[in-house]
Amino acid sequence: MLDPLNTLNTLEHACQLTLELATAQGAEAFVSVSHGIQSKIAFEKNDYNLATHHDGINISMSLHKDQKSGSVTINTFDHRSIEAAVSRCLELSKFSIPDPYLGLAPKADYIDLPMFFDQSIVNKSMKELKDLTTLLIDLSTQDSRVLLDAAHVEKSISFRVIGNTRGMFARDYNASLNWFLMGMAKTKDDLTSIEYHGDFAHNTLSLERDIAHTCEQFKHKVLAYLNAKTGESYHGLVLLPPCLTEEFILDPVIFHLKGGNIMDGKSRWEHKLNQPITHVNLNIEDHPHDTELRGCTAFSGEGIATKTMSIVTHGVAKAEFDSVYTANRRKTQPSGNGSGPHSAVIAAGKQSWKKMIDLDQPIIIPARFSGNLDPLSGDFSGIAKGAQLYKNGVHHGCLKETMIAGNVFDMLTNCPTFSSERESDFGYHRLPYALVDNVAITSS
Amino acid sequence: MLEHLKHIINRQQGYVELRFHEHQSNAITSQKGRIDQASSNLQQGVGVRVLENGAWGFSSTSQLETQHIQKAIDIAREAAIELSKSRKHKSLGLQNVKLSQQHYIDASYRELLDLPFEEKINQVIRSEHELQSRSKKIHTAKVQYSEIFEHKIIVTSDGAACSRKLVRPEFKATAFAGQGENQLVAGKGVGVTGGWRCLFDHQSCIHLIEKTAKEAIDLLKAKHVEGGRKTVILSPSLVGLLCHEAIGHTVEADFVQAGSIANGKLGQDIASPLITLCDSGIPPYSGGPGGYLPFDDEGVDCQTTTIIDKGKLNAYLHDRESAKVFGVAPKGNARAWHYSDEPLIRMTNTYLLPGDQNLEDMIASTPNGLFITGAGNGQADATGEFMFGASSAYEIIDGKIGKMFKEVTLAGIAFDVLKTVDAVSKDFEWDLGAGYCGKGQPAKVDAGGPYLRCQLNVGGR
Repeated sequence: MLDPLNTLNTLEHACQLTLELATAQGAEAFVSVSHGIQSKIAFEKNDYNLATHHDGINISMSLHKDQKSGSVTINTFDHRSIEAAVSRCLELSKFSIPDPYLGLAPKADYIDLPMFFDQSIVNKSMKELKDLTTLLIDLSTQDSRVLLDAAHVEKSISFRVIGNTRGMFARDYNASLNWFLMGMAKTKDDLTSIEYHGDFAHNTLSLERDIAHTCEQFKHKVLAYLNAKTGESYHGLVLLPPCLTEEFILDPVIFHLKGGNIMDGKSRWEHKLNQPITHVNLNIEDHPHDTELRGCTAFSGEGIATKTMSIVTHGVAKAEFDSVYTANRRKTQPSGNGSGPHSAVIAAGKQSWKKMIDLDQPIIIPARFSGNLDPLSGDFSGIAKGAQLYKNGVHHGCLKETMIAGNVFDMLTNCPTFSSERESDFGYHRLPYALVDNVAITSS
Repeated sequence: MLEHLKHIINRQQGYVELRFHEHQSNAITSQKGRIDQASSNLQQGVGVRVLENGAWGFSSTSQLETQHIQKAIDIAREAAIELSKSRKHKSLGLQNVKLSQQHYIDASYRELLDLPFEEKINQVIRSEHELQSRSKKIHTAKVQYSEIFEHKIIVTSDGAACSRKLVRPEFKATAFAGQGENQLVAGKGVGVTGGWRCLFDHQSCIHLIEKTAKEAIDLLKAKHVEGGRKTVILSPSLVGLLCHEAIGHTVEADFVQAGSIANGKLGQDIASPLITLCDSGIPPYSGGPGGYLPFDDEGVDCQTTTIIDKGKLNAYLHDRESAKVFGVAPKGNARAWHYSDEPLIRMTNTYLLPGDQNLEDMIASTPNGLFITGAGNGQADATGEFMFGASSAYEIIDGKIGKMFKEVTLAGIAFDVLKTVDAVSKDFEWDLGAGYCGKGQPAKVDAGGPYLRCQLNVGGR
């Protein structure tokens, strides 16, 4: 039986050794040591294709000396390798430009969160993983029109220890089962685009039901692509499903509220804290302690304690994302989510998405977006994959070869409306559908 | 290490493949007068693949002693045995082929390893200053240099015993420019297999910086293009992206077996007769393409695959297993990113053969269209529907180049688009070496070709 405490102690030893070697060289240091074990059954080329097992360790270190920084990652942790890595790190830093804003997270107390380490997942054998893969394949291909390109079930176990020369120290561990489907629909006359879906579980309490749910959603997604027709070109409304709410609403907001982008002049919202940045309908929070979401963590990658926080409230910017470094430069405090929210939640609206689209004009709902979105300007252009056409709330089938173009900041200021339903795509973030306007829809 | 792996392999039953891989990647990023990154990542270990009872097992270890590699073999074998109980059909095994005995060391490997880090970081810092100073409208300049040193040794139980040392450097310049609310980003990059001098063989570093700055400033004044179906002339970087995204992925044999659009179309006319499209680890065109490979990660010596021959679909890309299924010879397309990744069918350097036309004549004979340059990201689908972004386009009116447009998106169905090609220039350029292909794991690739004229859907406002 895998004992997390034994494993963490081994990682902690490697972390301490690295910190001591760095200190002996007159450097400050941040060290992250991780141990990952993955076992996977992969279904490809229409058969059980490969069973894999990987067990590996990584040590990442970032050293500061004379206001200069270097970083090194290695995957062996004997004394000699760590010593060589510390020397290499200092060598890399020597020729850098001095930066007085380099810093490390202080020692901190962290909220006590449950560790997801269900032994019924940890002990899953290859045979059991294979049986789950069989379930995944059987349920997703019950309809003979569904063709699987790839599917897998993976057991993933991870351990992490981080520490620095300021006395910060934190550790966590996690075991999960992840499953994934990728495929298309095919009939005698029709071959559709690829779609994919997946999810994860931290325990086995409702595993088979969760897998069945994924398969149902996947089948529905894929079959919705069939019998696609060419549509019309116009300007108008698009209903973004949650995965595209992330791409078109959440991600641009994150980009422009990142401290690094603000300090580099790339953000359009410099000096906009506590001022309106989007329409009042938008409310975003970070919930890093929500145990239902994958981003659940007590500490950031640098060791800053995480906290639930408002990011945008009724369209007003309430927080910016700052690491230790950007906080030092901008003379503010590190936010505990310097790279962006761990588990973003956008507030739900009042109406279901079906009621929202019951309008006397065409509305398309893309399943995916294959295109480019410039985070600076907000301009986007690309293919709306699997776009479903609705008029007066009635479904008129799938559209093919349909491109959409527009600007996300237009969308954010022109009354986006959010659904009462919310979903979390692959277990990250919890987001609603978003009805947005002023999108150019071009059909070939 | 080679003898060590051979010694272990000689004690095994059945098909066993051992792949030692030392992957060292170093990176330097300078932005706004800072060094944002000076890093080194060393991943080394042995990847083990076993074929047992007609099923595959894979495991890996970062510990190179015999007992650890043997343990990885045992784990892979047990996994394969378990999997074999559920396989619908046993694997037919691997295509017989003369396996590689090459011991290849790129001349630049040592040169770049020994080049002082100080010189590399100073070049990055100088280049960033240079880019920032080009215009007041460039508020942030970013320059990145990275290099991947790859040392692989592959030993298989059926006779491969080969080793290679390659290095792949990349250099990228990005300019963030803006006037008020009008903000954009422009970037240029180069990536090769080779050394410091190879990196700037085709264009000097300062030329790359100048082009990046000019594009950023010019794009600030550019408008968006109007969407619709248009006649376009694509530059080599976009031709490369078309080859890679729109065609290359659909002809990877694992995707074909899953039902891609290329399935069942061998021998059919799928493109204009002006189109001959190839993939090769050792292409005939010089310039140290970014996906150069003497042999693949199954120990198969690389050769050229002519995927489309004068418009006819001629071949798929294979690993040894799919080659056996299709009854053809594998040509070295099985690749793995790290020691802990299993080999997958991947492209190497994908390109169109040049034609016989002059670019100037092609432009002059286009009454109404777009001249499109600067490849961005691209994606493709099982149906052959592709999308890629281009940083800029110029209108062509009555055979003359006119105003510039920004943020152009191109889309179409690959085989339909290739049928509309009516002109191919005599030029050739590799232009996608500073990029990665993603398929569950990254791969360094390159792509390129001549200029070509075709019909495409252009996304616009």
